[in-house]
Amino acid sequence: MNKKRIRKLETRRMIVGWMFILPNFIGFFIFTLIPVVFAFALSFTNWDGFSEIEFVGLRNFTAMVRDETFRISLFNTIYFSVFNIALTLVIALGLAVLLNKKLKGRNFFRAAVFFPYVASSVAVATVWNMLFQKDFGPINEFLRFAGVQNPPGWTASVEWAMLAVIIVSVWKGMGYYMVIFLAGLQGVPTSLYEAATVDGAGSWKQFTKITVPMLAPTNFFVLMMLTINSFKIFDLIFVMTEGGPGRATLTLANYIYRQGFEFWNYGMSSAISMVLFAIVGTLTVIQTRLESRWVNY
Amino acid sequence: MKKLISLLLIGTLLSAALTGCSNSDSPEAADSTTDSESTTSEEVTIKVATWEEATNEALTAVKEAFEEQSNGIRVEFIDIPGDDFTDKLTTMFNGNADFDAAYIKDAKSVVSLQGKGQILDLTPYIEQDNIDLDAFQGKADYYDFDGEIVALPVRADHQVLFYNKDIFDAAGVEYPSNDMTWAEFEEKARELTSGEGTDKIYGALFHTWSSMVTCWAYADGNYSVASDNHDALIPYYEMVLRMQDEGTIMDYAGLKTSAIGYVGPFQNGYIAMLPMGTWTIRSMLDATAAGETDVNWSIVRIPRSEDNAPGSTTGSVTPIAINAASDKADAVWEYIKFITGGEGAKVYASYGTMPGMVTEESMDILVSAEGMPEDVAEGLTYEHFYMDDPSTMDNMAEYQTIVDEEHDMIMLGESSIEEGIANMNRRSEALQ
Repeated sequence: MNKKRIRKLETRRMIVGWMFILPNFIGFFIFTLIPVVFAFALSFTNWDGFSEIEFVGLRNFTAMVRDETFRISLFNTIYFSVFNIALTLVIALGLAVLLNKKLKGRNFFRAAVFFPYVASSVAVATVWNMLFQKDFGPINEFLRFAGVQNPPGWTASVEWAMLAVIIVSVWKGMGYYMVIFLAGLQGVPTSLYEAATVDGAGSWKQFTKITVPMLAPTNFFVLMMLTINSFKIFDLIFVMTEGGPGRATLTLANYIYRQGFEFWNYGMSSAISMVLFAIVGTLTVIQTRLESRWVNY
Repeated sequence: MKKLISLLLIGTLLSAALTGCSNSDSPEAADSTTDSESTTSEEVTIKVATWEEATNEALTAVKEAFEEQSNGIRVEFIDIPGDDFTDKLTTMFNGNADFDAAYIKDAKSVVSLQGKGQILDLTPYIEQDNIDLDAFQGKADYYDFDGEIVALPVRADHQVLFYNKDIFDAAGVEYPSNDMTWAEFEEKARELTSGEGTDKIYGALFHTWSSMVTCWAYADGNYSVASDNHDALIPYYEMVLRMQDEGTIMDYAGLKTSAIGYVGPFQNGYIAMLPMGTWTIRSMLDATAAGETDVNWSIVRIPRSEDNAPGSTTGSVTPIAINAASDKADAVWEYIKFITGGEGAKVYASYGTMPGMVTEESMDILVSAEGMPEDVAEGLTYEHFYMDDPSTMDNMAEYQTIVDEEHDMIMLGESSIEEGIANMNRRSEALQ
């Protein structure tokens, strides 16, 4: 009798628990889990959205290896990511250290740096496209004024287009990562700096021996987020260059979109997205492994 | 494990319930319309999918003209944003949505829809009503699948040459003729170019689309984007790049990286000749009526290559097809017969737009539309119409992307013509 009651109570409590997670779970199930599983299954098929789904095994993946445009977009994605990650990390950290000091108008500058992050990507991309305009864009007007005879063609040039995208991406993202670094800096005890000053350490030494090691967990978080965000770059390129000129700025995410929604190759599109997922997943695992080495406290 | 299974079960049940709801929508809706038909006289309402109805006055005008003379057939448009049209249409067909016909935007959908048997074979209707397919001047042939005609052209735009008479007069150059070669065009552009900087008058403008080169090869009748040999483009690239180097056309990179477009420069009067589709007529008429431009313009046939017969042009077609699942096919056919026939053509023409079926009457109406220059009549005619987006081609979008990308590289000077064309050939071959 007593045992039965306890079991009944347990079941009831379990149902209550389920009820709490149910609203979120339904959303997750319908909008995340099913599509992800479906995309995984689709990557082994050939489907144009109209006809019957045809199972093709690993054919999409073997075709991908031979596909020149896939290789180009993979290279472009890595190119973008390496520079975007490095530049954003350095600039965001620099800004955070600078704006952590007691400056006049510190809050204003913090807000100003953070502002681009809040703006819509499409608006940002459109405005920067105007700035980068080859003939009468303000950037090239300035460069000509400064004595540069042949300013770069930016988005109209294979060599410069990706750099243009990276500049915009760094400018847009640095404010967000700066805020995270600022939060990290608040956690570094001032006593460490005081002790270092007493011991005669200069500010560069303090930065490399105290600030950087103490920020290791923040650094790790920023690096991981930046890696994930860089590899899935889509919106800026979609608006700024559409992958051009030629295929100079075509990234994996843009190629996934093109295969899926322009060529109607849902199978190939899903297969590429699985590769992108594998790349980002592997990098995240490696970074997590390395974390234990970097973070010493 | 047990918990996981029960969780999954709950999820599946819920999703089944949700999809169940959405499925039950359409039959109910269909029922209600059939109910209202039987109760309120003999009125039939057909639902037709189209895009951007609000900005397309001619579309609504033709519909109203049809309703006026039809015996109780009403047309209801399902308006879909242009960019999403093909996606949405696919979903509607696959999901058995309640609609009877669709205008078709993307040529490739006709092939897929025909392949899946989702659009009706119109041949029995065409035979029953003795529709003269020759009146479409070859455009209907593109929808002929082994004797099954599954769609008919409603609208068709083709390439013509717009020109600014004032610039010709000022430069003392004779107006272009309706039988001009590209070499003559290039020479005229040279004579018409003058000035420097912001006041510069350009002899011509080639918009940045790859079709502004490929179309001229199409009109020669021996080229298609969907092929593994693009050598036919070489003479046209040579011409366009030569003109760009000489400064007789606007710079590709400049046009590409700014939002200048092609109508603006022409309407602002600093472009002497503009090869472009007939859809631009409407923009010119509107801008003139609104006082936004006072350019003294006219139209001649698009130039041709030396060895090509006069009067060839390329263009694109907007067809209409019947949903095979519709139970109102007869009523829809009445609508299609009207809008693709002579009567529909007249209404389209009165709005300055080119109908699919060009008749003498519709041509007369078109050239006398309000604000239309007097001497356009011959310029709007053609002898051969080659479709620039052949709907029977598979992988059309892939081929088009290859040509677009290499076009970009050639026009920006990132590849030489030889490299660019060799890349097009190699990449197209890899597609097959």
